[in-house]
Amino acid sequence: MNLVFNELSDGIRVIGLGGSLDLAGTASVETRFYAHCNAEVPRIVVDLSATTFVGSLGIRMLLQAIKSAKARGGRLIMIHPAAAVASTLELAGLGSFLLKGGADEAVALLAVGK
Amino acid sequence: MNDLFVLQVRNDLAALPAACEALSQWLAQRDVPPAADYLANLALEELVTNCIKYGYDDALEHTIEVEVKLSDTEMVFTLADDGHAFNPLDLPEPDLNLPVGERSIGGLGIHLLRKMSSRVEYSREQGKNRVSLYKTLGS
Repeated sequence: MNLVFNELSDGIRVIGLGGSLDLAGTASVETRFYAHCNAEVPRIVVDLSATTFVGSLGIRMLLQAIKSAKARGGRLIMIHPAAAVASTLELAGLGSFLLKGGADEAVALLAVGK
Repeated sequence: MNDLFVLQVRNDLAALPAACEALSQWLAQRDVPPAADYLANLALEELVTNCIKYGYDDALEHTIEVEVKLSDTEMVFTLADDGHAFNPLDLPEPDLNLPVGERSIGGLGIHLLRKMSSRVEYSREQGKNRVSLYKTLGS
């Protein structure tokens, strides 16, 4: 599992998760993932285009970050999931945090909510 | 096509990654449809993890038995363990309509398996829990 982090000039953070968010994969990235999601008012884009699988520990990590962002007046948006990953997240009740568009749309949405 | 995968996993989370890799490779070699492939991988991770974390009342070594049967029309994933009696179908469905701030962080694994499977069966026989997930292929 790998994690790519990029902070845009207006404070929006883009986190790419590559590989399998299974038991081992989630354990290998969750500390860094939470650290990157930790901001005064978090505005986070999670790019799932390279995520091949998400199990319940991976969902738990994403849900925790969504809750934390919302509790601080921020927002987390997920983009580009593969079909099977999107289906899993929808079944887990996280469909409303998936954006149909790409990074530009997500960044625009988060910039509006600033 | 009739094919069978059998694996024994000891009740140690450290044994799980190798088990997941073995199943994943077996499924990939048989060109299993993506939804069934995903279900089997999720089932192995969720059910074995639950069993190891919550299934045993002692600190002894136990063996968890995993079997995946493939036919032209169906995949059947079965897990058998000698932990205390536990029927995952008795778990309440999580309330996904709650606002996200009020949602529980855990408890989604069994929910996902039930939703992704065509049907799920549980039995307790000869001191063992037996959970079978059926997936119609092509659905």
